[in-house]
Amino acid sequence: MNIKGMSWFKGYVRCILRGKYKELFLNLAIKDDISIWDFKMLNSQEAVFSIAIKDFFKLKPILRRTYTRAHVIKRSGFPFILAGLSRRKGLGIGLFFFIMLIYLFSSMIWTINIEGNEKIKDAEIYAAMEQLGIHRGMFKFQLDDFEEIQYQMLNSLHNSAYIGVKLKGTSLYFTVVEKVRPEKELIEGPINLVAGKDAVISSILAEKGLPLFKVNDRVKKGDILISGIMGNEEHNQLVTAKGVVKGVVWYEAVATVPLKQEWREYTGNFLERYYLAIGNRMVKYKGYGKIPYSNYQLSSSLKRLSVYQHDLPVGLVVERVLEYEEKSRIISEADAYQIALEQTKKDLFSTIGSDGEILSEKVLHRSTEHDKVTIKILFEVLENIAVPQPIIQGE
Amino acid sequence: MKKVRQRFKKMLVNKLDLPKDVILDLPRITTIGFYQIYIENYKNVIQFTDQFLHLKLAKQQLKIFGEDLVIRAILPDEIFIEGVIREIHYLD
Repeated sequence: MNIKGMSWFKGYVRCILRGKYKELFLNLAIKDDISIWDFKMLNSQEAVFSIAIKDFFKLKPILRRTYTRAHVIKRSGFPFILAGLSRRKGLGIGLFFFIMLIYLFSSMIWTINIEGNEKIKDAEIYAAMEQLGIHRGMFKFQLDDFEEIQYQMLNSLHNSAYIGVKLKGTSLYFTVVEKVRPEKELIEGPINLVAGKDAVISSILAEKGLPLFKVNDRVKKGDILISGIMGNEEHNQLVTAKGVVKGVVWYEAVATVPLKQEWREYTGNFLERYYLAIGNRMVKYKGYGKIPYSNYQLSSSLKRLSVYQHDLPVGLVVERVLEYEEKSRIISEADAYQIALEQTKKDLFSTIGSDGEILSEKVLHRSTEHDKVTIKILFEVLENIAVPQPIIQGE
Repeated sequence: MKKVRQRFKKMLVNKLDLPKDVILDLPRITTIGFYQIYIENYKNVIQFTDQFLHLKLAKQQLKIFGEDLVIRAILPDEIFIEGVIREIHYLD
């Protein structure tokens, strides 16, 4: 029987009923689906009751039939307040602006917190944020996607391993996890230095341990270059072999470069189209017209309005139409050859690291067919081939 | 025919344990203390003053005597009375 709550919201009146057949009035009203409550007899002539505003207007025929009259003695409910407000428009407008202001202020960012940083200075992090355009006083919907922010911050702060971004109310929290660089392992215990690759020794220098080969010897991968076992079978001493063994290693690299290169390049022209997203639908409101580009790519982003962690089904979608053009060029054979050469060198360096020195490069094979230049090169590289290997003494 | 039907209904209710007030069209009266009375399944109000309420039920009639009686809520087949209730009479 929850009539009371809804009735105040919809508005009700308290009336005095005077007349002859009050009970009949009650029965007829009920039959017409009119709700009446708090019906009280004041004396033999008068009764009072409460009735909803809507139903009050339906009373007229019933009053007539039962020879009764009803007068309003009290008005209560939201509709009456609204009517009162129309005489005090300023109050209504003020209330409206107040609510809007509260909503606006709560959709801005007032605090930025950073936690988790020890070595990286706060100032660095703030600077990185300013670059991205994040500052106190900005609107929440101006923020990029969190993934985008995390990625950009990670890139600009080199010592960070992970950056977490969380928005709680009007505070923005950044959680920074710094990179922990592992300390260089100190190799302890007895080790041999063995060859990591097949090579021809160009120099062997042992600081500790016994060298087993000499210059210009050919070694295979796994051969012990500097031994950690000193002495003979009766008395032997285990040491940590240490030294530098440089050898010449041969690498073969292959690269193919096409003569005709085709790629897509953004011309820089773009259109923006704006959609208002309501529920599952999108309505375009700016950016009509046909797209004047023949080649284009679309990228769109969605921003939702939200109230207290709940996303409203209203949002803004910005769609960028980016024009691209297909470009192609034909390079000369000589140019293609150079590009191929550089590619093989790059591959080489990624394999041997920064330690090596290219002694010579010999082009084994160079051919041009089907509009492609293919080369095969033999590199002679001088590098450190010693790799530590612990001595495991078997029983 | 009507009598057979009545007897049949009574048997249904007793054997299958169905609710009596639905099958047999009887009123349900719930009183709380002597302040409140809920009456479900009444027909209409015959008379009402602040000391006396006379209701027509499906087959019988109900008379309530008391003081300061107020109809708190009234619906087509339910009525909710508050006040000081002294006597409740059933009449055929």
